[in-house]
Amino acid sequence: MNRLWQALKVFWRTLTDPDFAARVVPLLVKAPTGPDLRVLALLQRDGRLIDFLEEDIDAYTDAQIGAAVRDIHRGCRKSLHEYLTIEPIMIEGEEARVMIAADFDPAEIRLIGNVDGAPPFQGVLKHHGWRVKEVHLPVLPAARDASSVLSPAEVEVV
Amino acid sequence: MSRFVVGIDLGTTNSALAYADTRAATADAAAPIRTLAIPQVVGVNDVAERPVLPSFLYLAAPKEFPAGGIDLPWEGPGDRMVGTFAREHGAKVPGRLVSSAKSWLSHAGVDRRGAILPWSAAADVAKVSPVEASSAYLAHLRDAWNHLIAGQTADDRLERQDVFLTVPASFDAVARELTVEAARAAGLEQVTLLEEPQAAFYAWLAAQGERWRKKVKVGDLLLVCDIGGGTTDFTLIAVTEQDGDLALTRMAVGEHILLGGDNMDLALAHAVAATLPNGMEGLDATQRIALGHACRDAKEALFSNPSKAAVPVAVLGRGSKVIGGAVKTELTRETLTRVLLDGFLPRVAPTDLPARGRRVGLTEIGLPYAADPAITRHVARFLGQQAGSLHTGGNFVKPSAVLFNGGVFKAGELRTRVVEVLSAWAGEAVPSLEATDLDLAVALGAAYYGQVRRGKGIRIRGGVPRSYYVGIETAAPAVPGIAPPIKALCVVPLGMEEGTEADVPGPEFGLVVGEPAEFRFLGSTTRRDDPAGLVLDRWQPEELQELAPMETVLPAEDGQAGEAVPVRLHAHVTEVGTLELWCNSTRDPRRWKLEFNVRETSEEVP
Repeated sequence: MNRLWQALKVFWRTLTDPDFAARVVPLLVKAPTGPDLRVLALLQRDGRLIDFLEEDIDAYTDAQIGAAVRDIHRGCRKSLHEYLTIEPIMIEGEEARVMIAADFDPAEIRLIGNVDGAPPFQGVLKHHGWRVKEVHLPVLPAARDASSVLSPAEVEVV
Repeated sequence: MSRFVVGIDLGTTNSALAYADTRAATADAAAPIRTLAIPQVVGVNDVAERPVLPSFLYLAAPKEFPAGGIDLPWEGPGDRMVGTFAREHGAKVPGRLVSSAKSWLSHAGVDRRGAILPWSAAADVAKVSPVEASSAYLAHLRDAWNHLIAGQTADDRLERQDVFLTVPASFDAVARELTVEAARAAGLEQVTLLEEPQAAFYAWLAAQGERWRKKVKVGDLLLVCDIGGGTTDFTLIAVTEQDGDLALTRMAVGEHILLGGDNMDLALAHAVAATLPNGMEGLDATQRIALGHACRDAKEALFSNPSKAAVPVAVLGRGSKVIGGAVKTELTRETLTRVLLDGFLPRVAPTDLPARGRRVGLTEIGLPYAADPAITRHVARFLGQQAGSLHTGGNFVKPSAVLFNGGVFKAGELRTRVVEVLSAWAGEAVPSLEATDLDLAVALGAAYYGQVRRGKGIRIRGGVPRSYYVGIETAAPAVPGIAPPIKALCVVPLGMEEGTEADVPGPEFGLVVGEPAEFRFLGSTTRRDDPAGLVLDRWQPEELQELAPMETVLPAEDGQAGEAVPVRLHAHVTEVGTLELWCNSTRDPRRWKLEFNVRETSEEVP
C-alpha cells in the first residue's frame, strides 16, 4: 500500500476512533507489555511461577522443594494448556535420523555439530522444539493490556 | 412455539444450560441436545467459557477491581459478578459473597423476598434477596445465550424460548412460586418447572433411546438418588402399564435435605487439615482454598486409581513464599473411606433414622442444614415413610433399581456403597441404571423434557408431589401462650395433575371486605389418599409441614367495608408447575387469589 495513503488513514482514524487510537499507543511507547507478560501473569495466578522463581530456595531441602514443585507444576501446566496450544516443531522421535531440506526455516530449526553449509542435511534430532499452535488468551481492549502488573499486592482489610 | 427448547439446571452450587434446536428434529426423532459453554469472569481481565456457571454472586465494592476488569463480553450489571471468579474471590471476601441462594429460597424461617444476603454482610454492602440472587444467575445465562446463540435475531432470544427450569423435588409450592418469580424478574416468561430427579431420569431415557423398555419391566419401582452440591433429593418412579405399553409415574418425593457434595468436600478438607501441624487454624484464606482444591484432586486420584494407598497433598506457603511455609501432608485411603463412605454413606439398618438436632461443623448460621450427614439414613427414612403411603404391606419400600445423579457419584466407590446398602435392605441385588453425564444430566434431561412436552418421547406422570391443606382454627377456649389447635382441610390431593383445577368441597368461609384474610398453609409428602375437602382433626407431627401462610385482601371497591362475603376455595395446579388457590364467592362470579406471605416466619405446627 502507498505509505502516504496509509499514514493519512492512520492519522484520520486515530483522530476519530478512540478504540483505534488506544491500539496505536503501544506501538509508540517502548514499555514491556503485550501478550508475553500476560502469559507470565497467568502462570503466576494459576501456578505461582513468579513467586517460585523469585524465592531463594538454597535454604530448603530437596523434599521440601519437591513437595511444592508438584503443586506449582500442576497449576502452571493447567494454565499453559488452557491458554496456549503448544506442539513440537518436529514430530519425529528424539534421537531419530532426520533429513533437513534446503528451504528450512532457521528460526524453527537450529543446526549443531558438523554444519558444512551445503543442504540438504542428514542429522539426528536432539530436541523436537516447541511452538505455539493456538493462543486462547483473553481478549482485552489494548488500553487494559498495557498494565505491567503480574500479580496485584493483596491487603487484608481489618 | 419457540425454535429452541432450553433446559436450565439452577443448582445450589452450579448452574447449567442445555438446549435443542427443534429445526434439527425429524418426524420421529427428537433434536439432538447440546450444552452451552458459559462465558464468565474466571479472573480479573479474564473471561472464559466453562461448562457450568457456579451459582455464586459477588457484590463488588467500588474500585475493588481495575476499571473494566470484571466486564463481560456483553453489557452486564457492572459491580455484580456471577460464576467462577465470584466463587474463588468471594471465598477470601465472605462478607460480599452470596452463596446457596437456592437453599435460602426454600427456607421458611426467613423473609425470602427481603434483602438478607449475604447473611453476614459488611455494613456497606447492598444486600439482595434470595429471589434476586437466583434471578442474577438466570440473567447471566440469558445474556450468555443471547450473546452466543441469539445474536441479532430477536426471535431467538432466551426471553422468547420455552424454558424448562429444574427445582428440587422437595421444593414446596412456596419455593416453586419464588423460583418462577426469579425467572420472571430475569425476563423469562415462558418457564415450566421440572423436578430435578425427574430431569435426571429423562436424561437417562434420552441416552437409552428405545432400549429403556428392555431395562425395566411393569411393577418396577425405580429410586432416583440425586446428591447435588448442596441438597439431596430422592424420588420413586413406578413402571406401570397403560394400553399395553409401559408408562412411568412418579410416586413419591423426599423431604428437603440440605446436605450434599460440598459438605463431603468440606469434611474431607477438615479431616486432612487435622493432620497438619497447626490444623485449619494455621492456614490463611488463600491456603484454605488451595487445600480444598488439593483435597478434591487427591480424592479423584484415589477413586480413579484403586491401587494407590495415599496421595500427597501440599499447600504452598503464604504470601510470596511458596516453598518456605509450604505444608505437606497426604490423603490416605483410610481417611477417604472413613470420612466419605463411613461418614456420609454408612452401612445402616433400614429402620435407622437420621439423628435430630443441630450438629456443629456442618452448620452455618441461618440455613437449617441436615443434622445427620449419613445420607443412607435419610434414604432409609424416605423409604420407610413411603412404605405406609404406598401400601406395600411391609415396613420398607424395595426399589428394583437405582439411578444416581450428581457429581459426587462420579466416584464408583460411592455408587457401589449405596448399591450395597440398598441390596442388603432388599435381600437381593438392586442394580443401578447406567447414568451418563452426572454433572450436566439435569440440564440435558430438562431440554429433553421440553421436547417430550411437544410430543416426542415418553412423559413421566405424577402430578403434584404433595398434598396441600389450609388450617382451620377450631373453636377452643383461649389459653394464653398456646396457639389454638387447628384442623387441616385438604385443598390439593397428592398427584393432582398440572393444568387442572377443581373446587374444594367443604365448608364456606366468610371473607370480610377491607380486612386481610389469612390462611395457614400446610403440605405433606406422605398423605397420598386424602381427597380434596377432607378435614383432618389430628396427624403425626412429621406428616404435615407448615408452609408460608396465604393471604388476600378484598379491596373495598368489591363491596362495603365490614361486609362478609361467603367464599369457597378453588385450587389450580398450573401448567408451569405452580399452585394457585382462589376464593370464589358463592353469591356472584367474583374471585380473589390467595398469595403466599413469605415475609412472615412460620412456626412449628402444634
